[in-house]
Amino acid sequence: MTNSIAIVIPAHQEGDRITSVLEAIPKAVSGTSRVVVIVVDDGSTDGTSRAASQTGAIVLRHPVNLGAGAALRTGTEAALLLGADIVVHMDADGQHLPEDLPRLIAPLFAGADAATGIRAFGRPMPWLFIIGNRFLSWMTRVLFSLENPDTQCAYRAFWARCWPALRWDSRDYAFASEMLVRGQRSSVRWAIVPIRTVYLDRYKGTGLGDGVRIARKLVRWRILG
Amino acid sequence: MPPGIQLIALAFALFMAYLTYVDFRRRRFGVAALGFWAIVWGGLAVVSLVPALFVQLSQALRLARPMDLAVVLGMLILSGATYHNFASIHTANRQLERLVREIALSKLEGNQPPTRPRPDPSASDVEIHG
Repeated sequence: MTNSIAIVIPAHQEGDRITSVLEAIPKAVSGTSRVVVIVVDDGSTDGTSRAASQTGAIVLRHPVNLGAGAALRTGTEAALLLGADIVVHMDADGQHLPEDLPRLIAPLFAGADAATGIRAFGRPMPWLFIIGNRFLSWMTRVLFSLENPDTQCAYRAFWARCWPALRWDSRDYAFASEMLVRGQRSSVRWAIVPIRTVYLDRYKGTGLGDGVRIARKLVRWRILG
Repeated sequence: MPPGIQLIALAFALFMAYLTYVDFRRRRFGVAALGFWAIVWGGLAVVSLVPALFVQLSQALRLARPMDLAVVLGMLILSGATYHNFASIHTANRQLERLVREIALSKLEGNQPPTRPRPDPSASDVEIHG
C-alpha cells in the first residue's frame, strides 16, 4: 500500500460550499498510503481560497479565471510535482460523493489506466443538459469509436504515469472530451464506473455554448488530429 | 462618390488618424505601426477628397468607380487586420495561461516540498502515438 492519491478540485466562486465538500473527503482511502487534496481556485472573488485553506487543503490560485480545463491541468501538474501516483478529479460543488472514491479507483488496481464516472441521467439534471450530454457522447462514439455514455462527467481517476498520454490543452469544458480522445489514441485503458450525483441547487456545468464548442472541437480533432 | 459619403469618409479618416496619433503618443505602438495606419487613413482621406485621382487606377483594375476600389482595398486591409488580431490574441492567451499557471505552481514549489521525485514522463508505460 504505497500509492499516494491526489484529489484535484477546481473551484470558481464556491466559497459557500467548498468547506463542506473538502471536509467530506476521507483522510485515508483503501489501497492508498496518503491522500492529498489540491484545490485550484480559478480566479474566484468570493473567498474560495481562504475557505479552502482553512481545511488544510493545498490551495493554488489562478489570479484570473482561465476555465475548468486549465484549473484541472494546474492541479494535475501540482499533483505530479508532489509525487502522487493516482490523480483524482472531483467537482467543488458537492456533486460528487467522496464515498464513491474507493469504487472509482478500484479499476486502477485491477489493470485499468484510468477510470471515469458515469452519471444516471434524469432529474434534477435539466432535459437540455441530458440531451446535450447524450449528444456529445454519441458524437464521440461516432467520430472516435469511443464507448462512453457520459463523456462530460468530471469525476475521474488515473495513474500519474498516464499524464503524458492524457495531457489536454483545452482550457474550457472541452478538456474532458480531449483527454478521452487523447487517451484513446494512446491506448489508455479506461474503465467506466457508475457514480451517484447530488445537486444541491440548480444544475451547474456544461452549458449550451460549451456544448457547441465541444462539438466543434470534436470535429476538429477528428479532421485535423 | 456622393458628397455626403465623401464627407463621412473624410471625417472618419481624420478621427481615426487622430486616435492613431494619440495612441502613438501613449506609446501603445511604434513608428512602423504609426506609418502603416497613417498611410491607411491618409489614403482614405485622399480618396474621399479627390476620387478623380483614382479613376484611371480603378479602370485599370476593371473596377467601375473609385468607390469600388476603396471598398475592395478596405476589405483586404480589414481581413489582414482581423487575421493579425486573431494570431495576436491567440498568442496572448497562451502566454497568459502559462503565466497564470506558473504563478499558481510557484506557490506550491515554494511551500510544499515534493514527497518523492517528480515522475519522469518518458517513463510512462502507456504507448503514446500523438
